[in-house]
Amino acid sequence: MNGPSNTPLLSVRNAQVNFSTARGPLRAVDGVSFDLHAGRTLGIVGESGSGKSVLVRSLIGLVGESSGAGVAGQVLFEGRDLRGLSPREFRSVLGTEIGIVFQDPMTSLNPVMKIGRQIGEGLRLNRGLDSKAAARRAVELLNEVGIPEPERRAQQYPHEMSGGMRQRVAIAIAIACAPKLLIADEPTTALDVTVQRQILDLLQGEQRQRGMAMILITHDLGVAAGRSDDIMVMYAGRAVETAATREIFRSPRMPYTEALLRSLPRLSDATHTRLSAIPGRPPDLARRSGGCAFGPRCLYRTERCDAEQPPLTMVGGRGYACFHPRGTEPGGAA
Amino acid sequence: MSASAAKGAVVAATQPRRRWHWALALPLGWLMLVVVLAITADWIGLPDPSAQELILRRKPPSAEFLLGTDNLGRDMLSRVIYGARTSLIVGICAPILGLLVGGAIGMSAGYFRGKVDMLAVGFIDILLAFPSLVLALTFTAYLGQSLFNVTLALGILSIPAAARVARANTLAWANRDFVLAARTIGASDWRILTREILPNLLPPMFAFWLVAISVIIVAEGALSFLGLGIPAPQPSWGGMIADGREALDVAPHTALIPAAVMFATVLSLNFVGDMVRNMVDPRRSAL
Amino acid sequence: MSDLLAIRNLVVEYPVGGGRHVHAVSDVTLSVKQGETLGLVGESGSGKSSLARALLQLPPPKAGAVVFDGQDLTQMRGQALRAMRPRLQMIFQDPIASLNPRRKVAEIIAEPLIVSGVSDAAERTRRVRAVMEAVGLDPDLVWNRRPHEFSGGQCQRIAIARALVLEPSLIVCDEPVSALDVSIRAQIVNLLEDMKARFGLTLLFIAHDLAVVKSVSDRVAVMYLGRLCEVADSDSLFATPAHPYTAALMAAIPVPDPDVPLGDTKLKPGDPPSPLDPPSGCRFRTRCPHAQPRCTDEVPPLRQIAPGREVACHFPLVG
Repeated sequence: MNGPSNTPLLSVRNAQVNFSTARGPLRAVDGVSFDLHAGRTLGIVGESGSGKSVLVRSLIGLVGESSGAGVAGQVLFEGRDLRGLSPREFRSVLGTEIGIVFQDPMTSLNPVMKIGRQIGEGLRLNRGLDSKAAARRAVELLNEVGIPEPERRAQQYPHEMSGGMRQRVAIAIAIACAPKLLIADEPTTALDVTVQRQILDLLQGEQRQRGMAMILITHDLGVAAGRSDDIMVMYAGRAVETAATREIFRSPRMPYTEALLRSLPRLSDATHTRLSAIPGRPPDLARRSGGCAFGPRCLYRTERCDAEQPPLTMVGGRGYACFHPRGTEPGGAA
Repeated sequence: MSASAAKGAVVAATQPRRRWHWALALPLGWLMLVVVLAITADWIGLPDPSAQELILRRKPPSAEFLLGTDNLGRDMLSRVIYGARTSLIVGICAPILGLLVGGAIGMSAGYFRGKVDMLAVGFIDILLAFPSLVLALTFTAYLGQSLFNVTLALGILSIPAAARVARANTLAWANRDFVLAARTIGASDWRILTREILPNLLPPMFAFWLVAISVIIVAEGALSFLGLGIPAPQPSWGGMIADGREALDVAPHTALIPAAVMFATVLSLNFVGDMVRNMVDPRRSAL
Repeated sequence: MSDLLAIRNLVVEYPVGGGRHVHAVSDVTLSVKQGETLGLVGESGSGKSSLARALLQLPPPKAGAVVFDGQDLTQMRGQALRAMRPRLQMIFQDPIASLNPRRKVAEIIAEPLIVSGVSDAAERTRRVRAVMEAVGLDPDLVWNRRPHEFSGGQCQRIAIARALVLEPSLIVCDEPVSALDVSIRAQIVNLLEDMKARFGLTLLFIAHDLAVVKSVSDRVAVMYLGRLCEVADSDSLFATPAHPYTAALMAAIPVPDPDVPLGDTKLKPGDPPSPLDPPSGCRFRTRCPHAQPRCTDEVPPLRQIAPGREVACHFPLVG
């Protein structure tokens, strides 16, 4: 990543997540490393099964031994090793320093608790506010995330609100304790496009105003393009390309990224323009071969791609996992 | 939307499929023993379960009488095995009756909904509102005690539960797009019910059947205990417990042995039923 | 081109308990020409899926006519309707849910043939193999397997094969690619385009992704809260949207190009109203930046503003 050169806020080294399934062991995340600096937004882009959600969930302990997963690698948050913390210390970091917004606010909110109370809960637990102060702060937060009549809404239950409103509430909960890192896991996938636009505007606004770092997980390249500083593309559990957002879209190095961008229909194309589809389908993670996971679908595949797994190579501030990277001009300015 | 698929994959991956477990060998082995003995009872050289030998009454277990003798000097081992036959016949057949009738009612209710559903649910509720044991008692008291009538009475009692299982599952499946797809090709309701929905109901119905067997075995025991079950001298576990109760202080084995056998059988059925339910859970079998 | 399908004054309502009804589709009139692809765009609650199911009579609409090839489907019952069904097929959003998990792929694709009375097993096998090959499935590999053994994209191919095996005239595609992985979508879009050409199909293509809709549609209809906003040929609708909602929808689409700036949302802040209690007059007025008092009082009728262009707005952006 080409952020400032000081210590990153979040530093992940060689993250791995393994599941054991009926069909044998499955490596959902396979040696992913990245750095995230304060105030930056990292978009993690991938399809289902790419490991993007599992990766981030494993960092914050949502995927781990209790869910039958084997987790390895190092996770440094402000220089502290999160994997080495006691459960109590870990909970305190999660409650105050890291906020999380999930895809479906219907399941991430407690259906039988008034939303004002849900927002205030973290403040009471982690910031030591009394109920009155927490309730006051909850109303302020509801106002901040753009919910009209916050006093009345604070007394309502999640089912009394629309999907977009619920996601605003989830964002209010996530930012209540003023975290340094906001993780948004497909935050708008369950929403309509016009609502998605509003929620993404809100997330971006909060991120900038509060100077938080953000990890935005999405399968939608359009969402990542408009909202992130840097992008990490994942495929079959590995990071296959990392670069500044503009460079990814302008000159992708990894053939997968290139093919994905080419396959998207665009409003600027005439009707009935044939899409350049990617042949084949994503690999079965339980039946992994030795070579490049994208190899079987790749136009530029050679014998070497079948024999060896290409490592993530860093050149000029950007990385790609490919023996035959695209683009002849020098790599983007770091 | 592909993200939700991803989440599903994670959930599926984090729930390793329950595999064969050695602890299940015990209940399965016991059930197989009970079934085999019940089937082969006539050919394994058992004494007549009804033959009385009053001099040898209430004998504790010995080399001659492996499980002792009862109040009338009848061989307990022989009676337990022939009683297994009775219990299994009632336990297996009664829920089948319930599943056939209740399944048809529940499927119709869940599929057609509207008035059919209202009628079916009303019928189920009425049947459930009767105290079940009293209903069975009345039934056998009027129709007379026989293996057939006891099975019939307990079968009727299992209709509401079977209908509920069938209705809930049908409701869930009837809303799936493949049912809509079957309609777009012009398939009749009968064809959709039998070809599209029924195959998906079989696993939960089978799990229900296993659980129902154990419930019915206990219910049959209760009926016999009250003297309205299988008529004497045909042995049944419930009847044996009832007989043994009289001599509980002098010959406790006469009541405890059939009670222990019933306990072990019902417990084994429940263990195996749970295992089957886990195996047929669609989220697991989809893996 | 003549109209293969004409929907007139269609009304769809669902009871939601307490004597209340959702007005899922209100007075929609729309036609689909022989051989064209009509895109139908809208967000959740727009009634686009209710419209699709109502035109297939699943269930029949509350009011209105659905004239298919000269016959009003809403007036047909029982056997006559069932005999008509094979000519109108449907492809669903969730390909896995649209296939019976307990049946084999060959049985699933042969089922329409059995139902419509193709009794010769050899003939059925021949036609199932042919349609499998047409959609890019290897008959020998997939024949005896069950749906859960396949990925979403493969399942959608199976569903397309099932829809095609009776050689229908019209296929309703209800969000056929939105549940699929990004790298698979283009394959399925291309397959639908190929099948349309090969079998001379007419398509009603329902989606919320404007870029996909533009890619496949000759004409596009936009729905909002149960009413049509705008109907136009694809190129002019996307070049110059006439209805403020169409413009807002286009502004909301995330463009996969970081150099395209995020423009104005073209929306008043606030959430979409509930379909249970839609606003009076123009249903979009609560979010419309151009709303005037007239929009509250008067329902704007769908009117022609240019040849082949209809819009339901008192103050259209063009024309």
